[in-house]
Amino acid sequence: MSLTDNYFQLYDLPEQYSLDDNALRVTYRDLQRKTHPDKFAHASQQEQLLAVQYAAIINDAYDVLTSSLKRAIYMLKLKGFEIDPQQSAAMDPLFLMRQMELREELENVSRVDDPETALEKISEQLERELEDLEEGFAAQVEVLNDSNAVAAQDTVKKMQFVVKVQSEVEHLEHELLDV
Amino acid sequence: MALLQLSEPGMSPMPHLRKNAVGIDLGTTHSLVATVRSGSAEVIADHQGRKLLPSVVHYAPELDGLEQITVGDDARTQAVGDPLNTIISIKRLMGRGVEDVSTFDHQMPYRFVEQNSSGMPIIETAAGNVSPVQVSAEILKVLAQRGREALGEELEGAVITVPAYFDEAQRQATKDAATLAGLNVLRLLNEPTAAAIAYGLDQGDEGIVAVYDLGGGTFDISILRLQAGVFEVLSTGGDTALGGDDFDRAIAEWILTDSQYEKNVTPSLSRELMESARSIKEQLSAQDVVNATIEQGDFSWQGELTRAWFDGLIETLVARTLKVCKGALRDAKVKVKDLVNVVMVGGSTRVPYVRQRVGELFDRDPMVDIDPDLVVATGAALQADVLVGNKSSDDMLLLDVNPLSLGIETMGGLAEKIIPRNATIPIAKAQEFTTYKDGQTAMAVHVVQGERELVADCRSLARFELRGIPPMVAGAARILVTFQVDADGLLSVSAKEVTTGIESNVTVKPSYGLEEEQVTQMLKDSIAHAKDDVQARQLREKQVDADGLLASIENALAEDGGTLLNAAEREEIEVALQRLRDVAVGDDLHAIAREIDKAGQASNEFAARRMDASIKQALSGKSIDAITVDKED
Repeated sequence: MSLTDNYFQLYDLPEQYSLDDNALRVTYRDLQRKTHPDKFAHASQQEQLLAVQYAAIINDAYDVLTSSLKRAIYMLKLKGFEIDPQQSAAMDPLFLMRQMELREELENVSRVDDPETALEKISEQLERELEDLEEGFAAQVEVLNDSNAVAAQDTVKKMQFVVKVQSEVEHLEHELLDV
Repeated sequence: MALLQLSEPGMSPMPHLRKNAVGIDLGTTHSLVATVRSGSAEVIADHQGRKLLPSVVHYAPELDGLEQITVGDDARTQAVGDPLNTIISIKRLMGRGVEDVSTFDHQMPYRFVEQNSSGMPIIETAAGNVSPVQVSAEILKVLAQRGREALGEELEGAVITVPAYFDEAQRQATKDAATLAGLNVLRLLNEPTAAAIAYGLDQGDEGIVAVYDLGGGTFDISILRLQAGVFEVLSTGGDTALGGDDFDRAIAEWILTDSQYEKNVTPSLSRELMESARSIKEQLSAQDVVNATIEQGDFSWQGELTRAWFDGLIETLVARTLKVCKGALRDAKVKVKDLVNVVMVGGSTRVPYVRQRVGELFDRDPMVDIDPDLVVATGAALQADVLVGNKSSDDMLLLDVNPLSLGIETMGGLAEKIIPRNATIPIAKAQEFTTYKDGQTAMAVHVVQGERELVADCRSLARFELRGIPPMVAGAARILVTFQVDADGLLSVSAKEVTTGIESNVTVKPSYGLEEEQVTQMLKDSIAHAKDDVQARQLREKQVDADGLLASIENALAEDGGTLLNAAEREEIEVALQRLRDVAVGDDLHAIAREIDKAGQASNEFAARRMDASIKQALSGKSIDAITVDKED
């Protein structure tokens, strides 16, 4: 258990995609209680700096582990199949088609009678889509090797896509629903 | 080096050594100081029993070489008679740039110095030019003195509260003011978080709470999860230029229009109108109708004002706070029904219309039974008591967030976010840069804060140059720049060239405010002015530091030296400690500082091992069930 460990080891978790959120949060708090700079406010300067570094890493690990997308990207990297952001791969045309339809719906949402309900519907659809992708990735990452890595990377790229649309939905909610 | 104090919950590591610490609420309108005595937090009053110190500073010309600075109620009596030398609501200028002043111009009657190098607005007074940092330091000095007198001893440290939505420059300015006032800042604490501590420990509530904090000049909303002594901020939002002052201004401007007064408004009249407006506002919180008369020079106005009229006047201002609240709920991914309580903080939440609208938004009666003026200072005192080591931090843990995104300027004047808002602090993120010209050895970095996409719409925090990049072909150098936000919400930057491992020198020049040496110099000057012996004071402080360090390393060695160190490693630390002991009894300031440094370095690895061991202990201390992963999830 030290800073050179990977995030799963740091949190004493098995290196697998599905995580118990509650256990994660309990561990997070226990680790923060031990390393948070507040515990070292009356300590020496070196030790205060050390505490800031430890707590920052524990925070970052928590951020990565609690996000289904960041966790997936992190796992690929750990296993040596890091996603290259420069490289744009060919995407499943059916998936792309659905995304385009969704975006169109989003663009029209401000013109419908009840934008709130319309947005909620889109949100739910995105949520379902993300869950499907997560499930797919969990299975893929279990048996990751050179031949099926591309498929797993592809799943993560789709997740990135969905998450991006989700943030656009949030942005729209912000604009439309704040009076 | 204290290393890790592995003590039982509730037990102070050194029970016989109670340290004096205070919590300070440095407010726009008034300020307070509180401390923990015999287990409970209390606000410290002055000799006349007044708890609230008006945040007003009056500067008169020096008399016989002595400063004539008054703070608080005495200064406030000068507000109308001597408006140019009576500084009110200085918090609104903290961490602001000269160009920001123009947006405040009509609110502040002061004479600003046109040209200055600091980028800060400098105010001309009868006692010379003063910066917002210096004015705030005068307020802090009075509060610190109040604390010293009440506790009968020198203060070990202070927690100073700031609005949660304060940006980096505003936080740094506050910390500089405290340093200038001779205070050791244990932590800058966000005001709504401070209120949540006082409220949470008082009520023992668990669950998600919203803290709505509307003060004299600033508004904050924080959504927190309270659970088992952990105060976890889920999101925060706010407006650092919206508060009770703006309610007063709305009233004053309405009266001015209604009076059909056509001459120029003098600074004295402006102050008189604001003072009257404040009084009208306060009366309308208790009654439905107020009859007011204002006479100042040739200005005269008389009228009857109703609460309904006032509600209409502030409607858009209150609506602005509600919009921010909705955003904070969304950021926290929390619905109104998930909240267990809404806590009202800040004097402006006494306004019935504010309570009504907040109640409607959150669909419940907001909690108003904790004194909204005292709760922030009380929370700060509780936190100070933990930080100074009187109370074990096992009982209380604060997890706060970064209020505004931090980023850098990229091509085309765009801001690229590196640390997102609402990320739990401390946080560190690294970003890689490369050179665009062959043989390029330096690179300019512009750090900005804010949510907008264009750099021009964000707040400029600092510019710095990375130097000493090894000359390579364009695009070959890989410069890793690390941004770190500490528990005070303050940013530091470090840089390294990855392929060669060369560390670049980063000198951050704040866009506004003071550089560290300037603060040190001002501190020296002010101490010299007070005819104190700077040398003696510094020596005393260093000796205290040395003693503290010795005690904590000895303590750590006794606990873990046997298990975590081999004989040679232990010997090395012991030798460093003995050297420090030898010089600490002497009067060579530099030797003590040097040996403190060396002892710290010698025990650095030991400290890291103790930290690791403590993490391991935290994990193994749990039941197996708690860390078993649910595969069905």
